[in-house]
Amino acid sequence: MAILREVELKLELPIAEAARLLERSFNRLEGN
Amino acid sequence: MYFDTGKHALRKHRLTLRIRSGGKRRIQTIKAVDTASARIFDRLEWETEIKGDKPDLIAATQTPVGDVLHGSRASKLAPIFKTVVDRTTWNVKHGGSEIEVALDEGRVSAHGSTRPIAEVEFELKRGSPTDLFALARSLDCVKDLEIGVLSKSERGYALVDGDEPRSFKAEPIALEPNLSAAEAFQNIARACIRHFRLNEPLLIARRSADPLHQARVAIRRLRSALSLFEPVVADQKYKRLKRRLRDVSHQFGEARNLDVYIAHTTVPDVDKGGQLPPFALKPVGQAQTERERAYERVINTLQSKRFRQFMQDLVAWIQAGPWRTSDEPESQTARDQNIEDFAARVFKRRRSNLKQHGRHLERLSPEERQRIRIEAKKLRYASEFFSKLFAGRKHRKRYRAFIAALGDLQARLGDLNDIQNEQEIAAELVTHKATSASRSRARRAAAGRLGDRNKRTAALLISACEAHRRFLDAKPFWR
Repeated sequence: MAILREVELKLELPIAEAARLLERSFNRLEGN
Repeated sequence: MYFDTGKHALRKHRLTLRIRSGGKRRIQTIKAVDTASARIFDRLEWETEIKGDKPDLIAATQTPVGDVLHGSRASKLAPIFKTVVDRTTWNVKHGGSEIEVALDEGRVSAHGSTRPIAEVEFELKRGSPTDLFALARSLDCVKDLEIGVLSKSERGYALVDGDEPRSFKAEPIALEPNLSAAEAFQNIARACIRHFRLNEPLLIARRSADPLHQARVAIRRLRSALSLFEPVVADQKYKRLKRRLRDVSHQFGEARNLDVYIAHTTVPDVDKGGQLPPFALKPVGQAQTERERAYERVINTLQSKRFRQFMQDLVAWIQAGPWRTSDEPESQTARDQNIEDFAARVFKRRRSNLKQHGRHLERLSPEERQRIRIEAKKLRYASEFFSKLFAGRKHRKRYRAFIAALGDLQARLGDLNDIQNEQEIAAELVTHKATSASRSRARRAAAGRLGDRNKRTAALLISACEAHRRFLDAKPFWR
């Protein structure tokens, strides 16, 4: 299957703490 | 695990080969960076389940890797670096769209060195691009994150290379003649963002002139792209984004001018083996202090939440701004026009402006010359952006001559502008910063240098006029 460039956003996380914050946010969002 | 030959044949052809292990399964993935590196193939990624931990070259024959790794090269393929990544994904619904969010945490390692990887990716699975960026914008924990531009394989190759470069230059932009104006703008703008983001961390870490210069060039190129594509992208957000880019650009400009001033004022004297004249010490010392302050301002801006949010907004606008999503027929027609036709019109207009405005260059004021320099710069950026569209032999030959003539004109006008800036900086340093004794010393010195500068200005004006004539002689490469 052709995989062409899709609409996306990539962001860098400066510290592990930022990853934990993200995890909490998205667990909550997916839960909703 | 990523594989390549000792001489990085795959990397040179902008291809990657990776074997991913998960339990007993082994998946071989070949990726092409862009359609040019994908060659005759109409896709950018090939995945095959393979047996064993070594690349399956028979499976690779039906990919661009088959062309690159013919003959003895194939046997030289070896593991080159390794990435270990834990991926957590969420499927989020936002505004009626489905968005996959993937958090990657892990490391890349090569030759005993290791670097961490930590990034989050938002990918639209179904629905509207606007929702994807609205989701990112709605989350506090996302707002001040920086745009990621490196792929995992690029991180690996950077580690294999060892020392970081002093700065990153703009990379060529692979545009295809069948693209629409909208797609071409997006490719160009993305390349500018990448150029900027590659240099930004180097600038913050080292506070050195090279990455500052390159980051500034990236912003200027992006501003030029916005002007060139104004008929396509000018929507309700356009002016605000452009203004903000101009403000950032000015801040970079202040720091850059001081770098140029310091380099011109100190290095040549010292290089000639001479003593730095005592009167020069004070202004240069002040210029150094001013430079530190200007860098501080730039770095404070880059590290501010406001700027990071702006960069995310910019990326969102490039991919899904009102200009891109509008249903207005006029907007659609502007977006869909063929890029080759669009580029030819841009060149015709810009060249004719430069021809007309550059007439009687010797009679123009420094401000008018500066405007012509900016016109020349915009035309050069446009030529670089669109160069791949005109790839025939005749075009290439003309392109080289055209760019050389334009570069020459730009350099002469740039030197004239540097003299002007030096004078302004020197005047400012003398007026505001110096003690009265050093002020009078510096004034005497400036008077001495003024004569020298007038001579240099006169000589440069003659060569700028000649460069303008040569530019007009260079044949348009887009015809």
